[in-house]
Amino acid sequence: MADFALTKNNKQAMLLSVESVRAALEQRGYIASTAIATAVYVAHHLQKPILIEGPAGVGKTELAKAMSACLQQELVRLQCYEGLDESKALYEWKYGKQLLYTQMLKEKLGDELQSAKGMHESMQRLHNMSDEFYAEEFLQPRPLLQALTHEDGAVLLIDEIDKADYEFESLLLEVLSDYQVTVPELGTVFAKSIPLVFLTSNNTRELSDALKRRCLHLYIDFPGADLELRIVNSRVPDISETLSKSLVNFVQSLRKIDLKKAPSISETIDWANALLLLHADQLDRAMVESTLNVLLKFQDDIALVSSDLPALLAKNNTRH
Amino acid sequence: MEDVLIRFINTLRNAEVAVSTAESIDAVNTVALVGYDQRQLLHDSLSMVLAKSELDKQRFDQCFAQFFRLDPFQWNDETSDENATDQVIDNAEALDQTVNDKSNLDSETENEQDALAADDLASGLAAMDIEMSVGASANNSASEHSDSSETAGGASDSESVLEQVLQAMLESDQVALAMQLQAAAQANQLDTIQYVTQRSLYRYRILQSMQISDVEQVISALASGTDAAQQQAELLRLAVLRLREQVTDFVDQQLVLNADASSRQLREDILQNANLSRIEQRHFEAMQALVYKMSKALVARYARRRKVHRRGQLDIAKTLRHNISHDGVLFDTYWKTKKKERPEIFAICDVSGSVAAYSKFLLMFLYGLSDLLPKTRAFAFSSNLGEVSDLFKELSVEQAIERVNQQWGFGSSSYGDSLKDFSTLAMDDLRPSSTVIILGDGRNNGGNPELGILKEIYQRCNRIIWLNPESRGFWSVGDSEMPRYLSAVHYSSSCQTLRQLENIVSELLRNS
Repeated sequence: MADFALTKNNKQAMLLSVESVRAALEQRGYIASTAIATAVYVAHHLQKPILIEGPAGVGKTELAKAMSACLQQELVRLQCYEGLDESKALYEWKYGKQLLYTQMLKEKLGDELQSAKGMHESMQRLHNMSDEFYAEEFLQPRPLLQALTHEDGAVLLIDEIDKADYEFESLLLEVLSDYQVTVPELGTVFAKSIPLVFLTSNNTRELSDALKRRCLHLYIDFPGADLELRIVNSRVPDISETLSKSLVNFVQSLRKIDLKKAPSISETIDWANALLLLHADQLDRAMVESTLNVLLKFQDDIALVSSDLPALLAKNNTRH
Repeated sequence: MEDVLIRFINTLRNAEVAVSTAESIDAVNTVALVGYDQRQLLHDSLSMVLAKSELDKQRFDQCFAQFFRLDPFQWNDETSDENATDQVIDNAEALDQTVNDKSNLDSETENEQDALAADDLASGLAAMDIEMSVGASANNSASEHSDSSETAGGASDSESVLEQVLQAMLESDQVALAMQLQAAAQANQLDTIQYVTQRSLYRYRILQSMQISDVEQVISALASGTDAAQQQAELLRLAVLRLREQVTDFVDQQLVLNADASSRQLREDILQNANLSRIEQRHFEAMQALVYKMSKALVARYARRRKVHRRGQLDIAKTLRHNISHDGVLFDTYWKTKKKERPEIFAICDVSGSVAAYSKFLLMFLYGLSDLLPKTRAFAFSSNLGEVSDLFKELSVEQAIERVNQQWGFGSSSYGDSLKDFSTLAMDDLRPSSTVIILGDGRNNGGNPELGILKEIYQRCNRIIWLNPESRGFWSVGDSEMPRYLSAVHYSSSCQTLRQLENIVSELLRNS
């Protein structure tokens, strides 16, 4: 019990200022920019969801995971896709059991109605029987409802909301603004403790104003060289200083080229791991060429960069 | 403090960032949480609450930089005309230099007196001057003074303004002066400035509120005094000069912040109602933005694929009906589904010489539509017809329109041949749910109108809509085949302005 109280206090302390949020995230290996830490801080205090936009692989989903680790709350994740609906996101009735229930009812019905005289009395008795068809026991909670009903609170991650249908957004509105879900047959379910909500979007389509209005909007862009270096060092601790520096510089210079898909942070980390595995201690042409497919995901991009490689590496080497 | 925030939100709205009331409330709560003292923190948190798309964020950054400037008199490069800004910066720096030189000079010439004494002199002078001016105003309005204590209060207010302004000027205290300027601006409601012609009025009013005429009286009084007093007068003169420039800049800046929005609104209104064939080339860009905005709004309203598939709702009636064969045991379940397709549009646009000026905007509109409604197929023709959907998908607006015109445009139009081409290209794809829009003047240059093909389209598709850039009165004049074509068209309209186009297409989408 004492332990529990302690962690509770820790949580409070952690959310006390922007700086402490940042420090806590850093402890979990997530190097946050000031804007990110500010977003978490404000979101917690205003009890608002955060809508995170930005290119793929800059740590949108990762932020939610890190926060769940920091707060020691379960991460409830809802991955969105086209055709996602309330029966998969909010709740579903356990139809099988409901049908079994009607079967049971049928069997019991004979006993109940045996002594009844006439149609009228039978109907009367039928109405007096308890109606359990839409009871809470038959309710199957889905991620959104799960997150709300979690005893210790949870971190809710609604991933890639832009992939879901337009209609699905309106389904979220009640959850996001009031932290409640209305089940028509049962009534309204309120949140036991208000979850921290993250929504991520890759901007494949414009989200509705109604949704945006209810959220804080955080745009995470590719990080600057300093921040990226810290991220690589924190994620790949075994890497040598010189290698991490030159690989971050190389990736930064790649992002300035007009590529189909610029390498993201997650790809930088993958590449760092790959180089570490190959015992590279510096970037040379052969090494980069053979591992470029970790960093770039289109053949056109790889061809473009390969042809430019000597120039890119030379620039990289003169920088430090 | 909330006043500041509300003014900032107004500035944002003027810059076309849509901020709702709910978001304003969020902003107030946010500021209550983070405070005003850390600029970066304020920027980050307000940006999250108020600007909710990438474009909005850019606008927000600009507004924030302009509105919460670090030093109100520090110029930053956000101002539109960079050269002019540089010029002003140079001027300001030069002025700064002279002021500094002057004060250096002061201290050099007055080096027998120490700095403290100089300060004493300054404040003493200021106090004396205030007495002077108060005396003067008391002379002017003695009766009022004796009557009401309110005006006396007002007088003491203005006294303190003059005192503060003088002191700030003598000490070159820019921050204090800036605060005075802000107060004067607020008192004169500078944030309601709308038109360029109001600038001098507001400049005058602000300078009056800062009691500049009294300051000038003080200067002339000092100028006839001792050497030291003349030095002070010189210092003040420069400060007044500088202040005038600052007021001018400040008013201009407010005008940019405020008037931009209203003039843009005005321009949009005019462009929307202007005849499309007479809009000048220089408005092309504005039109493009407008057309895009319009097509986006239309699509947002109507293009949603209204499909509710497997909603988790049991279709009781259907389930019961289908399970009768299982002795009423609900074995197979059936679910409520509803499906409504997006409108499928075939747009045919005349790009011949006779409607060239007009077709540019229609193409722009088509481009916007096909950008947003992937099922739109666009065709262009003059003497022959070809599909341009792919061009629209691959190229930017300008390039696409140019290519379309190059490939198909500027010939003499032949509706007959073009309809034939359309029939080979797309007739088989027409479905009962399709909508065909024809944009053209129906002037066939005397050729065979091929009415039969149009009839076939008429029978195959949901409807044909013909939009004609000429007003209805001209449709039966000359080589126009409109009267004949009308027999095979569900709906026809004259469409000369963007507004009309919007209304027609909106109507079309609503009923589809």
